[in-house]
Amino acid sequence: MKLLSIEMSDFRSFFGTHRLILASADDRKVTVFHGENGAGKTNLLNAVYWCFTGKFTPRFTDSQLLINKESRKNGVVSCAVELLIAEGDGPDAQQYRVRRTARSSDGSSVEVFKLVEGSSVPVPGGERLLRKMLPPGLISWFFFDAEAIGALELSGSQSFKQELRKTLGFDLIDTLVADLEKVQNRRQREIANSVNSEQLKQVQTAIDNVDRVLPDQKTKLVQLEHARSELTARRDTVSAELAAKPQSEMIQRRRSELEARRRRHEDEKRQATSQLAQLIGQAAPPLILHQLTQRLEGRLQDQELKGRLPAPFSDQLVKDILGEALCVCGRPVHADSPEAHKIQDLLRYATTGTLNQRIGQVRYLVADIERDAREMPLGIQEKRSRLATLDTELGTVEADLTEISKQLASLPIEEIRKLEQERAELNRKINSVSEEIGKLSQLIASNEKSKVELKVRYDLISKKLDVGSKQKKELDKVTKLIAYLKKKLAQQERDALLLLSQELNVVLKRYLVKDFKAKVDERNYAVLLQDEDGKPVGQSTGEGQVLKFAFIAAVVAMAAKKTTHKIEWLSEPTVAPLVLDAPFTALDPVYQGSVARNLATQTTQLVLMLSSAAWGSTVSEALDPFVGRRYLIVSKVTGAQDGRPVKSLTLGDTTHALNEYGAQLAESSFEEVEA
Amino acid sequence: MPIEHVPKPNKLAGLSEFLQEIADEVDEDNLALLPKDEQVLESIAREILKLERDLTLPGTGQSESARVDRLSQFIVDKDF
Repeated sequence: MKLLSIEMSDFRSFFGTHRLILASADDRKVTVFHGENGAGKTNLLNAVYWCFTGKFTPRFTDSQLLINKESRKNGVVSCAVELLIAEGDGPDAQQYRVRRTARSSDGSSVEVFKLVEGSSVPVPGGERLLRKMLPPGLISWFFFDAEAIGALELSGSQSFKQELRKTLGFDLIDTLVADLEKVQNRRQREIANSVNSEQLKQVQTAIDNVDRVLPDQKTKLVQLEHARSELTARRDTVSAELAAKPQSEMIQRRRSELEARRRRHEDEKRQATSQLAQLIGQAAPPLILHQLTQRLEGRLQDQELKGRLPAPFSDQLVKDILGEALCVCGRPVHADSPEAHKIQDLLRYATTGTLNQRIGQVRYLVADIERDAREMPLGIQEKRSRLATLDTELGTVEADLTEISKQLASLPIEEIRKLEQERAELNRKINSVSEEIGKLSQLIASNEKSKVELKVRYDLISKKLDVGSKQKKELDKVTKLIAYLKKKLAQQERDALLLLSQELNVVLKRYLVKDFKAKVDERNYAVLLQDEDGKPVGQSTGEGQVLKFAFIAAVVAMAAKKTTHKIEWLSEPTVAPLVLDAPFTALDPVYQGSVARNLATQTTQLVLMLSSAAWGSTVSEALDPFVGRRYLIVSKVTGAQDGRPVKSLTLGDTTHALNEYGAQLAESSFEEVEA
Repeated sequence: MPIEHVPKPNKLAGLSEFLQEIADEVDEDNLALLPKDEQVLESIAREILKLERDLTLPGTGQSESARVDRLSQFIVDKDF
């Protein structure tokens, strides 16, 4: 799918009607919108997002106020966004018009028209067609608010895993397996009723009960995770607003530093706690065995002294004793005497290589256990002391953060006080939602475990009963098919995640100067970045931010199946433009050029909304060869300039103003400039 | 004599069908490489996946219980 044009009528900051044609040629596929903060870049992204879905990105505020303020004053009661899109390639491409209208009285509605020989033919159930073109699970990847990229969690939440599974095309097999498990339950119930076994019926009822609550619990978990990510995005916006105010800028900056330090400490604490648990686990056997090994060592020595164990000995010495018929202790050892026979006997058993080897192994093992028992407590002590230090440091950071909150709340500026209150309230809600997420995750894990145990119990009980052969065969068929599908699914999942890791690493190699590698965890889909030594790199670092961009590019490529390997059984490919708001401001300048070039080459169509600060020479050099259309979003205000700055953007030899004072209307308008 | 305009054949038009044919042939070859039991399961699994795809297509409006009925009948009809 390609986006050919966007038409907005009285939508948000855009007064009247604006039609924007987008670049869609294969060699010139990038459209750039340049606008300063507040000009309407996020409004433009949300115009596309809303038109497709009826929803908005998390950072979009006051979503009930869609109609332009000036238009409302003039009696306008509705606003609309219309997209012209092309589905398919070349001469076979079919064009559609998608129009979503919001009225102040009765919400919004969408209409989809198919263009046939210049006429618009309404498509019944147009929203279904839109969902087919761009599945809901993928929309947030394709229409992405990159200013909130910091909030993109790659650490493996349930909702992240679910969205990624949809992106990779697993939702169809997931639904099939879930439906087949219902068929299986139905067959099991039939059997339980026919053999009239109370025990079997009880187990099946318990399975049904778990099956009834689990889907709702999983849905609730995804909702909670979404709620948390929306709250986090809003908190980040409030923090950015605080950082933009001259009176609170310094304090907020200090807070951001402290919060970054807290995240680092918390990461280290998590790692240290897990290492400590591992150490304690490893140290337990040596510490318990230590008592035994001490006794064993004593016994070995004792037995050696008593001559009952083959101690290391000198062959020559034994020969001398027997030859001279005299022991080292002075006792005679005559040939054929009991002493000589005893020595011969001992030598026969003691000198076998195997026995000596075993004794040697036992001695080494004992030495290892002794060493571990000595050294591991030191390692544990070291970790404990590091954890104590981290706790102290975290305590200091928390105290400093509390002090900062007090400072901000006491500033004599109403707006800042309100923002600070909102931030505190958001933090409280985030903590409460996180707690709920933790409890629900535990409950889900426990229910899933119960389900597995109950199924095993069902099998054990039913084996002892006289089940009809036809019923048994039908149940076996379903069970066999589920097992086969799960096996295939697991195999395809591994292949797809490996492919995703490979795609990510190809992208990272283009982006990063350092030799970092990305790895996707099969269990929870968490994406990990590791340095040259395999050590984890934090996601809040410059490289961590780059990973997130690389991830979006790789996901978009995977969704379009623009990969070299075929993954069987996955759903149809999704080809759609990548629309990014403010993509480069979050990035370290050293990476901006390579990220920009890669986004342009890896997508079929790219729409970027950028501030002048994000349009440096590296980004310009990387993108210019691909840019097909370029627009300025000019922000106009009615008041006099009164010493306020005019923001400008220089493209080639021309400098363009991005804001105007003394305008008739407060609005944002578009101006197309040479690409 | 005026030159009659002859539209160029669209080389891409048949390409996707051709690629699909190759992909199908490769699938068939891969299926033939599997052990007999697995061949049967693989082909039934593919069929049932297609059925699920049809049942869950946007707009088909099939309820969960209708899907379960249909899948259940599909399995009864197959001998494996």
